[in-house]
Amino acid sequence: MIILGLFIISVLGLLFMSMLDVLVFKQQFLQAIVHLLPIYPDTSTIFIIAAAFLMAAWTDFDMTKRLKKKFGSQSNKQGGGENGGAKQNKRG
Amino acid sequence: MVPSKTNAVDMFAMQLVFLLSTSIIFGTPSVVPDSWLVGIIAFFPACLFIVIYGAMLSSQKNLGLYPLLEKAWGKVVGRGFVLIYATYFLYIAARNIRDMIELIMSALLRMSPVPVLTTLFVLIIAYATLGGIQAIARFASLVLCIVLAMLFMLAVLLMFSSSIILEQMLPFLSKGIGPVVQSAFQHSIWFPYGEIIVFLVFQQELGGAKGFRRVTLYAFLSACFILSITDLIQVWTLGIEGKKYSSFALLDAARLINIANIITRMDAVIALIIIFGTLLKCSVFLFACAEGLTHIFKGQQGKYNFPLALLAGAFSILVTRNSAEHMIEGLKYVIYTLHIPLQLVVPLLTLLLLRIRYRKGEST
Repeated sequence: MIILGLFIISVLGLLFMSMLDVLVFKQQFLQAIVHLLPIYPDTSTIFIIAAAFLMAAWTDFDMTKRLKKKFGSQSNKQGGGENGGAKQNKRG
Repeated sequence: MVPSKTNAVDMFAMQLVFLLSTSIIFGTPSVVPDSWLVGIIAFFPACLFIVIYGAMLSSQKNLGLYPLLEKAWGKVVGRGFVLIYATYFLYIAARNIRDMIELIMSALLRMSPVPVLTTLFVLIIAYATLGGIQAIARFASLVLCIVLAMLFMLAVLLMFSSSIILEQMLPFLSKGIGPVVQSAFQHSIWFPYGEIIVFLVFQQELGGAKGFRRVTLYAFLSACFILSITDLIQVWTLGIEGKKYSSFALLDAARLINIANIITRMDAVIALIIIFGTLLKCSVFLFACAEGLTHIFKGQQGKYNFPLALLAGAFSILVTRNSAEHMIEGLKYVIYTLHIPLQLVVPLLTLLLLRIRYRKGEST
């Protein structure tokens, strides 16, 4: 649902901005929205928007939980290893 | 769970910093000769917002803006309005980020790439919103102290560097009171005073209608006083014509500080005031936007903060193509197309609908 919310609000935001561009530049709506799309004027905005959707997807699909489930046992073992190392150090 | 209330002092600090942040630089339109009077005149009609918003809150036992919209307009239309308001808050946050980036690009970091600055800034904003509105309010008290201390220091340093010439404010009212009143009604009421509507979103945490009326009135009064003083400082240092043709008048005024060639280039202080103020203002807007999305799409509020902040950052780059367009759009078109409908018309209609649908005794 976070992705959906983000998508709807980004579409609405682009509509807000294009509406204002129509008023300021007396452009046609289609022209204004094409100018606003993130490919223009700077491609860096694509990466920022993509990062936003990636973050939304990460939380939406519970990626942290899934990764913990998949790799959690290994990290526990590693933790145990570290503790073991600490114990050895103490003994030493 | 009953949300814990925010301290009245913190709430006052939050509203005052919110009102001051970008308006110190962009608030009063410089085309009017006696711009310092505009803020004072705008204060009186701006109090109408307190009356309308206070009446909205008290009509339904201090519900926030979003539940109020749903109650007044019904579920479908109400949710449509909630989405529009959430987008409006995100859009204003994007404009504020752009304001700050424009200023930083011209004063401090001329060679730094805009997307990098924007991304770093929005990540800080998102982090600030994670603690909730109480954390933002506590942070506001600290920011207010810094902002006031810096403004005071600026005035004192300008005085010591003999840059303040009181005669520069003459001729007084050379074109009469008409343009001043017109400018107050066309610009200053809506920005910054009208933007206080965002605080209706989290009224449950901020103390309800009674607290809102009292604290907002004090915040308006203080903001009016401080904005008028900063406007006067700009006129006294740059003169009426100098202020008229300066993009960032207070910044140019700060550049005039020179005490024995040791204390110079104090414009960074102004940039710092704007950075702190914008950080707080954008946090409030972002938080309100996230609340709106949570209200419609459910889920935890905190999960929306980082994606929304990045989206606001991207919008701040897309919102206008250059500085001149940004100012014209912000001070003219945004007022008529977004501020007036969403700060006055929709709240008035909502209040009217609430009064009709839920008369005394039949409420909720």
